[in-house]
Amino acid sequence: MTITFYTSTANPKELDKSGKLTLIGSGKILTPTRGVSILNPVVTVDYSALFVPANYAYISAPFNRYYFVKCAVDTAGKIVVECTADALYSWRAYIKECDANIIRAEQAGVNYVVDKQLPIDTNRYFTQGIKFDKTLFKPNYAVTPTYVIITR
Amino acid sequence: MATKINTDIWGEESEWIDVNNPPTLPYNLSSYIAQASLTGLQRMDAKIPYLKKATGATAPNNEYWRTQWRGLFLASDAVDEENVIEKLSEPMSVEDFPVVWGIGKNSPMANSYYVYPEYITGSNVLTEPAAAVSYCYKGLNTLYSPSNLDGENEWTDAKTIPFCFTSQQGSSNSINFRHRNYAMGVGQSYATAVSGIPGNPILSFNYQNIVIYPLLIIAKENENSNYGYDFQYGVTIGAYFDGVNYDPDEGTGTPPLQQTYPYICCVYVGDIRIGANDGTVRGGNNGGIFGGIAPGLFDLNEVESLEMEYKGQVRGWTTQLLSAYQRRNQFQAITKSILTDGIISGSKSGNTMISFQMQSRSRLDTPDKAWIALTADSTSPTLPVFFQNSHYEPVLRQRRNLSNPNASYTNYLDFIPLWQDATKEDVLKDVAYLGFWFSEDATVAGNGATGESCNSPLMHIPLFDEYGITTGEYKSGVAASLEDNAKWQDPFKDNPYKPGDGDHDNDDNDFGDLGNGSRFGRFPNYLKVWLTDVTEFEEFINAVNSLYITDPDGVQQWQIDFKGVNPSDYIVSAYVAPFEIPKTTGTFPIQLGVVTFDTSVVPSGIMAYKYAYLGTDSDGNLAGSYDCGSVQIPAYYGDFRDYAPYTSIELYIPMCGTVNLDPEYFVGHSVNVQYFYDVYTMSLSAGVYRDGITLYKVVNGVAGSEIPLTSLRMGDYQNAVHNIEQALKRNEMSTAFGALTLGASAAGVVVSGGASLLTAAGALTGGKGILQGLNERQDLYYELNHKQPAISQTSAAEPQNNFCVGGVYPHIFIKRAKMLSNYDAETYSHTVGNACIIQSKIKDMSGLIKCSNVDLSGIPATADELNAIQTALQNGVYV
Repeated sequence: MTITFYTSTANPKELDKSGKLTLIGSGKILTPTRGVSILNPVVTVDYSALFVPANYAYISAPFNRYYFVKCAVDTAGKIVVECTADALYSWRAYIKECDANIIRAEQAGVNYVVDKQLPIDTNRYFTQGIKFDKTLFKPNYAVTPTYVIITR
Repeated sequence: MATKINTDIWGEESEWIDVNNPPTLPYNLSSYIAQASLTGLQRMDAKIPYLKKATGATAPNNEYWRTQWRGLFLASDAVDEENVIEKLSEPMSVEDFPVVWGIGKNSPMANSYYVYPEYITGSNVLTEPAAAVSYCYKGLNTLYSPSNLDGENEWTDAKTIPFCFTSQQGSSNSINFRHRNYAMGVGQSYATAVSGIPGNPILSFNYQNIVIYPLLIIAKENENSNYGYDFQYGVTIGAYFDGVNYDPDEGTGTPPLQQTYPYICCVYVGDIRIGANDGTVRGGNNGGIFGGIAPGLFDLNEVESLEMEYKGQVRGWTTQLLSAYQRRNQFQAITKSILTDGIISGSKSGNTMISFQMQSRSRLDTPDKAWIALTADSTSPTLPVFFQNSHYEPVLRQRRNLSNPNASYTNYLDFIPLWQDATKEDVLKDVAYLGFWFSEDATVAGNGATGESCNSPLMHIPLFDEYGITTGEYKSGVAASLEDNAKWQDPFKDNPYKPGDGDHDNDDNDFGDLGNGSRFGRFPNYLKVWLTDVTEFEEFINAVNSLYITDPDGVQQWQIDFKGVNPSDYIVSAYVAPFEIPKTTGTFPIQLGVVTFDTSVVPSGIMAYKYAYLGTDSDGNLAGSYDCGSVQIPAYYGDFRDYAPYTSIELYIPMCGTVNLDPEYFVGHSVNVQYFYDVYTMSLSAGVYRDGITLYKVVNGVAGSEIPLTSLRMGDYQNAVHNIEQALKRNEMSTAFGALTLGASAAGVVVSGGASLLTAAGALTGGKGILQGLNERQDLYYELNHKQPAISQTSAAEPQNNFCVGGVYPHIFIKRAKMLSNYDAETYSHTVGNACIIQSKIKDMSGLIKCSNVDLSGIPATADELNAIQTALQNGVYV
């Protein structure tokens, strides 16, 4: 198995990090002395100063996954890589095809769905007045009032 | 910046004219652009006319009134804005119309026209922000045209669309509107323009995104002894940009032809002349056929920034206005209302019927008879209408001698057939996209302008889809007259989802015929309502109180007239209403019971008006309602914040108080207030309607103050007098009889010669009776002479809420919540996300999303990974 190291500037929440990964290089994973988890493996590679700043990696088959990594150097001069699987990026192609009920979306904009997190200042208002064009009563006594007599 | 577009006309790409570096020959393009820009449809609430008489040395020709306007414009004297709008208010609401700015020789606005300096000089004002150019506009959303460039009718596609007209002060009694000789403010005829002087009055417009403003011509009989208002040559809208010479003959012609690129097709509005004598649209010299439209122009700045698919398939547009116009019955009703019920007399309905004559022209036509030929007014029988994607493109040809460039030359227009295999149906369909009535027959089109040939099989009426978009389909003749065009739907107002609206499928406001509640029933005949001014009122009351006292013969007259009834008892009530109650025409003597207060009773004769009605209902019947009009409750945010609890709406109704309106019910709709008045009780009720149709609430108030009224009890007085007189008569009779008895007894004593005690006693008694009778008579006379009529109170002032504490106009007060000052929409959307309910595949989203549920089936990940994915999607993922 080989591990390919990257420097990632992506938000961990990004589904597709491909545009924000900078390839550093690859190393062969040394034979583990004990069992290695597929989701949180700790692997060892020969030392290379290039690998140390890596924060992201890909481990080839049979793992075939991307990982957030932390590198350390052990007493034997090897690089010990603690990995945490990035399920989002590893399975991005599948995830994109998933049907979802989305309750918040950046692209939705503020819409007719009430958003109680929206920072509305409920203590302050602004007002708008709209006047009708016509009225039965003329302003400024412009019309002589009508005297009405009802007789029988 | 010049944007390339592919016209496919010449087999190569053509270019838009660079507005910053316009060609100088043969015309000054900047002047055209200036005009186009000037007429941006910026909304402005100020009610100012924007026309002014061009005077002084700087004016190109102070003989003319140079105007620019859009929409409806011409009115004769005594027509002002309010007047016209009122005319338009029935049966359609004014919102269906753009602004109506009347101008006219004797119009109230005649002295306040305005000419922009740029208009005179032709300078380019494109550098001036469009928003800084203020123009009148009133009405609602008709200033924008929802375009369908992308095939979707989205509000955000709306563009401002400017255009302009010019007018000319015509002969002494008319106003002429000419399109080319004096158009575009330069005042140069086409002939002059040919000589190289800027000023050809032709503008270009983009075929897509166009607003049609009907030109409603309000004519008045005999304004012009010949033609009434004379719209000669109509108005040319659109045409071409030129500046790039093109010689199709490649210099082989004799003489060689120079030709310009035909960028834009044109719509040409033909003559219109409204006859003075019969009010009908007359053909004029050019077979005038047009009721008038004013197609708008796209803002050229925007045109340049758009990738216009000049020969693309995106077609079909209309406006709310146009859609409304397609409902011919309403349109005719409007016309009729204006022309027959308004100030215009003598004109006939249908004058403003929109109609197109469509006439293809061939290049084989004699050039000088082709479109825009100078002699068109006297020789050219027809006027063409050209359309994009259609059959002919107008091209300007110059016939000049290339060997002698300084020699005189002639310009004329020719038409290049673009669509060689177009059938007639293709042509008609293209015209139908415009949305106007049209005909391929000049006579039918001409008559159509008068509404008299709607059923002709040659008269075609385009059809619209449910969004008011033309489809290219049309109906003809009788079939068309039966076709109900689709109604325009506002993409905002008719948004399918709004809180409070509930399931639209269940919306059903059709109650059937509920009858018309605004109409009063018939009043009982014995009750009569008289309307007077204060002087007449006082005179009447004085007459009631004093008539039978001051008149020497009053007693007898009263006995004849009232037969013992107090005259004031015939007065049911008296009050003063704080508004002018409509009156009948003519005055009538007031009736009081059986007595008519004409000059036979009261020498001055008190005349009063009878009660009429407050207005008319939608059926045109007299009704006891007064329509205060409608106001639109606009959405401000365009989202949930426009509704409760974030927005509240209060309606103030003078004399009735205030009422809260549910934002869920009214935002995006109009509020209409109608008063109903009970003239008997002074009760004033205000009906609040949504969109002028659906009753929302009724608010009750009182409008009127009872007049404290005291009157003499003349009936009681006269009865008392009558009783005294009767008592007097009885007294006179009894005392006369007593005296007769006393005389007889005394004679008996004398005759018998002896005293009889009894007889003497009887005589004594008789004498005493006489004395008593005489005393009683004195009392009765005293009473008769001192009897006074009692005074009673007929009506009294009662405490009422008779105040317009909030002013005399109904108005809306909208209170909207503010956002916190540190709110940044973009950041909020990106970091928090906007609440929504969207069911979608994740790949169809972008940016931040948060999901409540997601179907992760099909992902060959571990259970822990699936959980991690689900958690991540719930907490937020950037797609």
